[in-house]
Amino acid sequence: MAYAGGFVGKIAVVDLSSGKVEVISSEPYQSQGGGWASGLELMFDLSGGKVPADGFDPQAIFIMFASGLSGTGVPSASERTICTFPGVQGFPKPWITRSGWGGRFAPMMKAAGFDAIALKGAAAKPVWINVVDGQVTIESAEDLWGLGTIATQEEIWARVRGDKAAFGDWLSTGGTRDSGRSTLRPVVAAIGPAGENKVRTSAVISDTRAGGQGGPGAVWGAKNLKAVSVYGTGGVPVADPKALIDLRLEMQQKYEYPVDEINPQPSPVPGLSYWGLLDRGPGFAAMDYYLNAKIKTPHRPSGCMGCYICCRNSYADALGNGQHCVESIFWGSDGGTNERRIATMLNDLGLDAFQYMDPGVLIRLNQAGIVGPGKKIDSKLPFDRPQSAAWAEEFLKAVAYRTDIGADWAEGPGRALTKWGLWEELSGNGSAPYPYHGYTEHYDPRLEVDWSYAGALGSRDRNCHSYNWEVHWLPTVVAIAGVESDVPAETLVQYMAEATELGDPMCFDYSEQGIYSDARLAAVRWIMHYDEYYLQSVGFCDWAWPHFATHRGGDTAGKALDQYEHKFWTAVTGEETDTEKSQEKGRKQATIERALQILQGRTRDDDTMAGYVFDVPTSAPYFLPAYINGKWTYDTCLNRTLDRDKWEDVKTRLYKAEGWSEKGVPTRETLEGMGYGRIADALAAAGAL
Amino acid sequence: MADKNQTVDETAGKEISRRQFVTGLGGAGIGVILGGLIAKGFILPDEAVAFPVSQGYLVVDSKKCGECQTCMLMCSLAHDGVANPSLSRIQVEFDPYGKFPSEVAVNQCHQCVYPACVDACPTGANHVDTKHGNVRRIDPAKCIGCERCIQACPYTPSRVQWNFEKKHSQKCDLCVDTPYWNEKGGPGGKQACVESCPMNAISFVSVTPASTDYDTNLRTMGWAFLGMPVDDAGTQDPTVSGLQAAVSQK
Repeated sequence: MAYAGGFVGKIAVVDLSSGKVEVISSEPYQSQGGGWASGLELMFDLSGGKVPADGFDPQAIFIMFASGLSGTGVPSASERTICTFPGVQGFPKPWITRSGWGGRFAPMMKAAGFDAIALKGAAAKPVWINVVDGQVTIESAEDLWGLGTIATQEEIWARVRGDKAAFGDWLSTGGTRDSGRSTLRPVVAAIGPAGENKVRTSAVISDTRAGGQGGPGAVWGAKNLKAVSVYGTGGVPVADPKALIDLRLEMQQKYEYPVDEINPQPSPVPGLSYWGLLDRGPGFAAMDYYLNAKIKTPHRPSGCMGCYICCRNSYADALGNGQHCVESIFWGSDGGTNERRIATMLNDLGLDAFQYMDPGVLIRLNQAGIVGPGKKIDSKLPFDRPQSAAWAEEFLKAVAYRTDIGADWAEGPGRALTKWGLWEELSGNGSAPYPYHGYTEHYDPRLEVDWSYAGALGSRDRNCHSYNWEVHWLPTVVAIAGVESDVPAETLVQYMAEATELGDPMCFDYSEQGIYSDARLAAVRWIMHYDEYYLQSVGFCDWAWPHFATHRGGDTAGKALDQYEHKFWTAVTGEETDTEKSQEKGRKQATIERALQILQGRTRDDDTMAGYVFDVPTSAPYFLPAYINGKWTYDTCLNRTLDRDKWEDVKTRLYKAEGWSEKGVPTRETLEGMGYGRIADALAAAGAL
Repeated sequence: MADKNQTVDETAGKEISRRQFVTGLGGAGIGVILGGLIAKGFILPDEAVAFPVSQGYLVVDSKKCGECQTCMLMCSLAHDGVANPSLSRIQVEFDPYGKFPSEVAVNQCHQCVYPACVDACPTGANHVDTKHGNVRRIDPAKCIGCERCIQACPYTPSRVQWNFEKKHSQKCDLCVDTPYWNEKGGPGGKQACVESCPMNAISFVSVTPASTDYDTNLRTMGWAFLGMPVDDAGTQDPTVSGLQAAVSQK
């Protein structure tokens, strides 16, 4: 269906093998919101259901889909570009997966006339794609190949703008009076040396923002695609602009960090603000924020387009501009500069920072005498200076250029450790903490089962940060501070039960028994569907959404039941929605994802986790709400593992609830009920139904 | 949300002669404006009556800008009902890899005391709207598309722009005419960019700023609490200056 607003109506399908460009309507794909879910539907139709096993296959299709909210001014939902593609990173099998980034790419893609760009085939020589106000051309990138992502973006900005006008002056994109005009620079997504060298943990970089998981950089490298530039002057229609502006201002009033107030939420920890940590102040995503303003270099907040938080920073020396989360706490601590320098280096090489946040495995292997100069796994890297900036720099270059042990590590830790004969042992004892699909452990899979259950059923690290802020970081911060939480466990679970409309506080019981309960699985599914639809398809940033509670104090303290997601979607598209409808769209997304992966050969046995999750108990406090001995508390969750048999039972119950068979295959009834009869036919033809 | 607007200057709105206009500016203002005029080749006739000053202005703090460009989206939404940065009357351009604070440029209309764009218009489309606080506005019905006003603007990028969708010039009207916003705009009212800026980096003032004060320091001690510079140049770490320590102890 076509909406009254939100989408611009077209998709550019670029065949890199033939050089042909086809423009198709985006209307059939809009009802899923855009992003990941719409990308999956488009992937099925473009591929005829024949999705290659990985993204290195020349037939692999790579889709960048904006959301219906991209470029509209919906707070922290206007910026996301979400990519759908057969991955290369996942281990042992990559599956079809997603990755995405913020910044300005998706809004500018829509301004250029396209809701999505789909890339087919592979070019014979390096190319970049130039999109300007509806015109798509394929340009030679032979002189760009080898450049870092920063130089590539800067060079393409200049080529697109030409010498007609300096950045910041008006430029006509068509040369006539009535052509569109812009003062802005184009937005370029590019790969660096890591992508060119098909490093499985390589990213696509745009405006300092990175789409890393799944290895999208390597997929572009395999296609000989260096960059995609988008430049446009068109607008995004909005069904009810008045409502959109009013909602934006209303939401800011409730949740915006009051930048001109001093210490709006007094904290028991010097330099640490509940407000900044839990309700997100400007610059908060640069982790140095928490460390009592360790950043000595003058800086400003840096927000993605339309953001109401502006969680990143831009610095006086430009090092680490746009760094985010783990990018800003990489090796080489010296008060900030080296971390920021390494963050910029990661960005320029085009590596996914999250996969390099922990050098522990290699350091431990060096200490065990296995890796290092003259060892069984010979390496010239400076292991005598572990965790220094110098070590990081040499190691990252080794991976990006596939030298030294980087040649193996470029295949990802799982494949490298398998080659070295160490995978089974190290993943079994937890020394190599890659709990599912070979991705680095993000939060403890034995405890935060929202991530691990849904992650194991998916294709990558889950990422649902805002949910995790409440259930894990809130009690962790107050435990560190040694004070009572402003939202006790009993209150928090009640808020969440109401906000999700699940109604039962036991849905958020993370006790040893609670994580296997029907109530807990209902919440896992709620979060999974919210994640799939509102975060990864509609594009709400998971560092800002959803809201379950506020910690601002005063009149706005407490539960947050506004459900602005529904209201914003309606204002922009004109479609009425609610929790039930949005949850169903999330379920639909999970099902088409599953169906495509079944067509890639996925079975129930692939929904698994590493041995340490089941065999090695937790040994450090890890706070989560739990119902123990008749009382709610933030429990330390010590000495916990997952149980293998219970995990298998959880899988069966989750499959059934989703409308899948005991083998984890969506049933024909389920698929047809969602309007996916053509996908049921494809599964039947493949012998999977 | 707190009202970000300041009180309207009661003395504003009366017509002034060219002499009053020039003497009221001060040296820096004269230099900037006449510099712009000379560059555009204009000469003010002695007998010409200058324009009543606007009763409102937008000032920005480019060092406080969060690079989110929300102001651009809200501007085009409020005026045109569509989210389109190219149609925004305020333009924010930045280099994501540039060095703070020069990586960001916030370009807003100055509602110039001597509005060269108004003077250049041959049809009166670009005019001083005395019914709305002397805001410099464009009447689309009278615009013939000659773009002289765009050329006449002394700033880069021109604060007067060509609306390529509706085929007429347009410029900031301080939200006097925002058919897609429920708030009353103009001097005494609200402005979409001011209200929506999450960093409070745009402010409405009713007193004519000095030419150098259209980009001014709007940072507060709360900003210092965030660890960000509050000195005018934006070069000083507040923890070094002691500002942050001071506010933390309050």
